[in-house]
Amino acid sequence: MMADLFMLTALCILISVAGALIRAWRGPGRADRMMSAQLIGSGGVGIAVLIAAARSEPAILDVALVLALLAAFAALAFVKTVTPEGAGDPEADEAETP
Amino acid sequence: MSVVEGIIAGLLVLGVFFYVAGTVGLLRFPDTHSRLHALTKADNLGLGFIVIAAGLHWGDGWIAGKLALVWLLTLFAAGMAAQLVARAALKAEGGE
Amino acid sequence: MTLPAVSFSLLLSALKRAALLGLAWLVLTGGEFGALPYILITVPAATALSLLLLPPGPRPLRLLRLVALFPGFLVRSVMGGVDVAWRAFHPRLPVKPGWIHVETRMQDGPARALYGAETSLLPGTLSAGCDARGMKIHCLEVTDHTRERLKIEEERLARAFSQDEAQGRDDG
Repeated sequence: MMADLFMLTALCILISVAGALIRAWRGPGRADRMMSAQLIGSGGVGIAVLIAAARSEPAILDVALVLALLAAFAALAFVKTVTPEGAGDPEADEAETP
Repeated sequence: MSVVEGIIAGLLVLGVFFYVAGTVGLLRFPDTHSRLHALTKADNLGLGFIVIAAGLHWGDGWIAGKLALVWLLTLFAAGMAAQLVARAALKAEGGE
Repeated sequence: MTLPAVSFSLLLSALKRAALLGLAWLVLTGGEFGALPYILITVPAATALSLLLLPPGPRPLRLLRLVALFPGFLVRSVMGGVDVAWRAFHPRLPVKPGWIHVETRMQDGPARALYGAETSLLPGTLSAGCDARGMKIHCLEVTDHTRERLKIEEERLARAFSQDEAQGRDDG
């Protein structure tokens, strides 16, 4: 019974995350699309935790942990591609143009 | 349904509420940086409630520690990523 | 002879980081007995890597003070989520975004980054990094209290990061 409740919650979050895809589709900026991807990342972490709890399977928590790490790296990679030289250190950029 | 199960159900509902709030904010807010507010704050709060619900359901100390680690990591990553994406978005708009 | 003092503080930060990483290892392996011997390899390696990638600065992080700040931070970040949710669901969408500049007395990069991350989770504010004029903060609604609230928050965190009272920044 509790397991079903956890699965139902996971389904609700999946639907909510799917809604965020509208922002990825519409944009308009690259940052908007990136944010939609980030939301999918944190939604994925939540869903993994819920499935782990529903099945009492601690191994799925490691999936959640890896997803959380990957989401952070995805955001970093995005910022690096946006900065002109791909160097991606905004503090350094600003030091050049005070 | 026991009291604990009632609390877990309540936490799950709260979790879904904040996830949906994050999505709605991302769709409705007028500019990129405002949307970033919704993404950074609402989603991670939703995850927090879900993590607490899962911890209560499991009732195991080590698992609770790992759940806490998952949440702390996402909170930290969200705060850092928000600043980076905010800067990148500013740059894309051509400064202020 | 400043060398002994320097190496002592280095040893102290190495020990602090090793303790944290050891705790992380225990939690990650779920306290399993079979994984325990590997702690002798993983923790020293991770500590060395951490010291290499982020050498300890002159102002040590007070871990206990930081942990003591955590409950209050949690409450305020819940308020941040509630604030965003309220605005998102409100039919008239009460969002009047604007930028403010805030001077910061956080002197090193890590302290400023953590302050920015914290700011981004508090109600209505989002940090977009620093420039010569200080921190750029995006607000969902610019009010008179925003600056005061940030100042209080900064004061709390500055103590955990042992930032001195000195004004301005030295680009740490």
